[in-house]
Amino acid sequence: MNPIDNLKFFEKISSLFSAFGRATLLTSDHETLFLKYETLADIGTLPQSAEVSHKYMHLQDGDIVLTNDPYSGGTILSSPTLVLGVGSRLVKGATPAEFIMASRLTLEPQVAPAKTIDEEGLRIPPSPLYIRGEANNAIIDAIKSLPQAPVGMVEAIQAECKRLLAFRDRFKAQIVSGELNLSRAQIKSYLHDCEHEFRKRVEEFREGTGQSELHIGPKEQIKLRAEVHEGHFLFDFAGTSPGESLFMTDSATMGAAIGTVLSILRLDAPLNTGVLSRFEIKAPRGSMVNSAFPRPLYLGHTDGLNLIANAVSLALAQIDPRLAWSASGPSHCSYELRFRGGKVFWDSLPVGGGATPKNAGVNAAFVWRRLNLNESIEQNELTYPMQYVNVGLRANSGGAGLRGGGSGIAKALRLLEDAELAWQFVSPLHKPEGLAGGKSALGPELKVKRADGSEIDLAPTGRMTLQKGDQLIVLSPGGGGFGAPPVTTT
Amino acid sequence: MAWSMGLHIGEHFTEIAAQESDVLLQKRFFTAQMAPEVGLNQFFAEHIKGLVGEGATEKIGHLELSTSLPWHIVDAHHGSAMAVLTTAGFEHWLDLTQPFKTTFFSTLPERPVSLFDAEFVFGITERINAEGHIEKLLDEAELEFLCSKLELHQIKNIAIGFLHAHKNDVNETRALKYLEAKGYNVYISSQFKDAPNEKARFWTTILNTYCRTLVNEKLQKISDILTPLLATPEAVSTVGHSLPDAISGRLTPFALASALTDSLSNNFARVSPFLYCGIEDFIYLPGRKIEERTAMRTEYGPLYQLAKPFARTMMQPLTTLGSHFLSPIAFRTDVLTFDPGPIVFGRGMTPTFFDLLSTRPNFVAPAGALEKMNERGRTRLNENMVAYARSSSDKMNIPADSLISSLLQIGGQKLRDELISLGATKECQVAGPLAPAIAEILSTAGYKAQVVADEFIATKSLLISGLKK
Repeated sequence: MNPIDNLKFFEKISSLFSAFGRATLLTSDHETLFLKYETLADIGTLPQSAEVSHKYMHLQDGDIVLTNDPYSGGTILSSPTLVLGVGSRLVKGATPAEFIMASRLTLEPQVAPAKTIDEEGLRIPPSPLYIRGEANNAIIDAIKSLPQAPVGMVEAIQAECKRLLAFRDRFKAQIVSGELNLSRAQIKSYLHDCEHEFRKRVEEFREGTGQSELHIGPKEQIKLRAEVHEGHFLFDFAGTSPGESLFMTDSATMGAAIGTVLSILRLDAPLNTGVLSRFEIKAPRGSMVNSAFPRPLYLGHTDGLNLIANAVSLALAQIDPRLAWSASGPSHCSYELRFRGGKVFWDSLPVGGGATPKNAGVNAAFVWRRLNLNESIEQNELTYPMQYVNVGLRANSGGAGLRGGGSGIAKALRLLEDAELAWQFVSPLHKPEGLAGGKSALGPELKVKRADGSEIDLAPTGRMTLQKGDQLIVLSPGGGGFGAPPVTTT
Repeated sequence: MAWSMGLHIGEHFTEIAAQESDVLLQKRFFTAQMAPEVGLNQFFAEHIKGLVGEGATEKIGHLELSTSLPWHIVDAHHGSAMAVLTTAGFEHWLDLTQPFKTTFFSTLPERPVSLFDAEFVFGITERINAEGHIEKLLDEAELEFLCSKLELHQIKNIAIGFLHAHKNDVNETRALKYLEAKGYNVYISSQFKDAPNEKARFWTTILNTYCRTLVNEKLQKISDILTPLLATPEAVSTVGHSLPDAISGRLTPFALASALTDSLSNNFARVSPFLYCGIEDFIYLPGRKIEERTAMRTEYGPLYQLAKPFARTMMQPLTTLGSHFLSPIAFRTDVLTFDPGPIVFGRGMTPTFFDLLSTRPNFVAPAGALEKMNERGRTRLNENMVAYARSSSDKMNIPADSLISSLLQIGGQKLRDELISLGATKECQVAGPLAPAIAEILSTAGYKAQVVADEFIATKSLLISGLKK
């Protein structure tokens, strides 16, 4: 196909997904045609959840499967995925799905330091939700009856089912009318062209190998060897230790590695099998980047993936210094306040981005989550018994350098009612590293300032009781600087 | 004789319609070449001689005024320098709430260009709590130092946004009175009490402050021309307010900017979904009899300047074309201004949606744009498209005509999908200078678009609104 026909094909599929934030479309032949993501994990896990659901449930046209199980291709328990089977023909009766569409929801998570995934909340393995377009109410009733289900989960799932069935109607109508050509030849040609274009684009970057090592604790480290050759990227995590505090699935690790490469290369490439085939990830079974059931995954699939991104960027910087990107703040400092009166406030903070040879790091961003800060101080103060003391950029939190790292956030909340605090953040032994002489940034910190003025520094994970009048101070990490800071004389 | 008039001032085009009995006069001109006040004078001198000059016998009985200048000032980031006063401890809050523009993960996620200098954001010691009780009363003495700094930098416009001021505006009002007495132009966030939260309230205050000086300057010049020609001083109105209200800032710039969309909504989009295809803007109106007024979307967040519901579509006349991963040329999300404008105007270098539309055999250039389109521009556009069509990209070797058709097909589909997602699921009425061209490409995309009025619908709509009064 010529480029403009490829563009038309891409635009047609994209428009079908305009109402979805995190979604993918696969063929029943295991080809990913389209992928839209909001987190690094989505890149690897969305196709995985579609594949696993189809493999075990043998999807027919109109079937919808629900899962939030990270060990079946999910991310965190508050992000359930709905997987829809679509047949391309307008025949009545059961027809096998030729296409699999998966869409993921974003609900408010629970911060629950835990030893197993089941202690983190309600885990739903792939379960039939709609059969040939008819609702399976038993599962909805079951979820409703479980107190550990995230708030609003049932309503969100029901609304999403309607959108999925509307998607199916529109998708099929476009195939039947001929507006969307999804013949084997068309798909093959499109995926081939995408792969070809990707190879061509990465030709301008250097080839070679690079390594990185991130120490999270005395016995917990991520080791990575990256190899770039003829437009092919290999990431080998051999030597990575088993997890003690951090656990990730291999599909989430894969997503983090691929997403980081695309960002560093500044390639707004459509994500499909053509492009994905240029990546190979080796994640040793049992290591923290390929953990086994029933390890808890919340921290790994949030902060842990930021560390994978930092490891990938440090390794790529060795291969081609033009691509250098200092480490970004690794932790979003997730915490939860469960007030005595029953209200629950969940929060996570943006971090500072790493600097590059040409640019300073971005301030206060969810670097690896396509979310915007949607917080309202006034609404939160009205809803929860607490008052903001301040929110702003955390002074000097970005690493100094010729290009400074971005700043994290400093936030202080005064409690107007007793509350249980639960928190989880990753605090590697090394602070977010600078590159080429750039300084490291400040790491994450949580503190409690008691009403009597005493201060307590909190460990990376835990629970404690706070009293009315206490202040919770959360300091998110900055990003590393790049290049030696200019010498100033007085 | 008393004339009824509609006057719309865009960023680069000004449109006038005047009616008296059965006589209807219309004109659109390019503002970069002729300032609105000059064009207005010329229009009177050429067409309504009885209004101007010695022995003038005619008057303007009613003139309905609208402008889209605030939108364009914000889009082009060319508003006035300003200061922002907010609750101490939250000086960065406004910056932090700005959404990122970059849609994919990037080493450099981009926020919108800041409209004010961080140096001129001042944290003021004051606090109202969530119940509206005063925890710290503002002390005006704190504002003294601030004034000396603003004076040094010749900043005259101030936006004030204090937390929970919608519940209790005492601190904002104290600051307002103090600063207005010192000669500053001040908007306070409690003016927008109905906004859902502090972000919407603060940004609405800031965006209005940012545009205030430029809009008022423009209005003052128009007022100088019109005032002697009016039958009564109240003959000019905009969204129900007098011209002095608009010039003094009592009517905020974005309230003024809703005059056109409100009148289109009232006069043409009462039943069916409606797309206004102006030269400068494509604006969608949902076409329901909606009495509620809603917030508007900006790249900075919601603007809570209540207006009849409308949406500026992503696809705009000057949406640019540039490279995409899959193709050397594709629609982008950024929009050009008419300075330098589309390639066919002879000065621009970046192809736009307007350029593509102008290549269609049955494209009729609207008045105002026709005079600007020239042979040099057309040649340059043709060369440009031939170069893209024979791009070095491996397989891209197609006739330029096919390339343009394909791009227009994509443009039509994008606009169609947008209209569907906005609620016009099956069909939409279109009107305005570019309506015939847009109806054609929508029809190619399998979407029913009916052209319902001629290209001067904007000012006629204002005219109708005026006549109703």
